[in-house]
Amino acid sequence: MGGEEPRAQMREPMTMEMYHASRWIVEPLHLLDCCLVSNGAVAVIVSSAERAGDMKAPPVYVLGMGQGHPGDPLRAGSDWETETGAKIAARTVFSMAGLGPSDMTQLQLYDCYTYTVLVTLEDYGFCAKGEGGPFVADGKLGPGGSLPTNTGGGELSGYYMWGMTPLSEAVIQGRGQGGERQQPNDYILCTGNGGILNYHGALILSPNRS
Amino acid sequence: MSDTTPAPSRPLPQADEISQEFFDGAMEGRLMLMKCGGCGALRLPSRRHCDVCLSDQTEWVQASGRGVVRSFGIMHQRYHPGFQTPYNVAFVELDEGVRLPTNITGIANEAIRVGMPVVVDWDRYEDVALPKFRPA
Ligand SMILES: [Zn+2]
Repeated sequence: MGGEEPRAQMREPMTMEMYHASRWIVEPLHLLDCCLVSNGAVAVIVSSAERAGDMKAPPVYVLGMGQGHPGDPLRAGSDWETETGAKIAARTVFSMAGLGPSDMTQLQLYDCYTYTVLVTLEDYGFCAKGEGGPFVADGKLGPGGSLPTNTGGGELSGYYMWGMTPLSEAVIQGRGQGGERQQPNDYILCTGNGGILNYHGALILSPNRS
Repeated sequence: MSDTTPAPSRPLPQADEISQEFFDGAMEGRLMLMKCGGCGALRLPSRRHCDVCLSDQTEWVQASGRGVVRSFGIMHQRYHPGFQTPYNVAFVELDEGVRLPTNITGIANEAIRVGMPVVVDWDRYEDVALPKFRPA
């Protein structure tokens, strides 16, 4: 989905044939399941809402934030591979914003691997655990879909700047500066992972203050 | 005539103060686990403080060497010249309840399954032995 982001590293439309033909990295992950290697930098200015109103660029407001850092105890009973800190973060971020998954108009999700998007959608309650694949199969994450996601190509097709990849695109979309790739932006869920899914952070951003 | 360049050897782990008993046991074919002296939780990998109760009291117990495959992947990317691809990397959940990153031996990669019962299969080198697992 990086085709409409001029800074994306992968801009050629990808077909299923290209995907399946890409070499294995760690089976079951193909090369095209894995994020890019990028050089770059992203800066975000955080300010009070009052000050932000006086600045040149349109402000994007933080309606909620949440974190979840379950760690991996490497013990029986842990579902580290299939449940992430997003499950914990979801409760905080949605309750702070007074919103739920069905209110989100677009998603900017940390997508170090394709699988990460699916497990994140499940943990935020967009669909049931294990249903991520069928949930996205109709293309709802694409441009014009019911849940446009990673509109700038994300880390898979855009550029890999860690959690700054989803955050930078969330700010661009929140300002309404997405150009051809602009999607409805009332409520943007933006997530980041770290430490092999041991750490998770979430923001709900919006062009509106509440 | 023939290529006499020796194949690059695999890097092998070295015991440190905290893991010495694990590697000493391994050389004798015993799979040793660090157990918390405060709360009884097993610590794998071994470390100074318990992640459950923060105690630094420890004892060592011998594991049964039995477990099941919890998860696995097949490595195709070659990260080190000493490793021939493809090879598997698995997490084995021991009967004692801790999970060990390892390799599954004695079976084709395509035949490995999550939940498969396995038993320890020592991979012995001159100064170190590594716990791999084969189908039980
Ligand atoms: Zn303890």
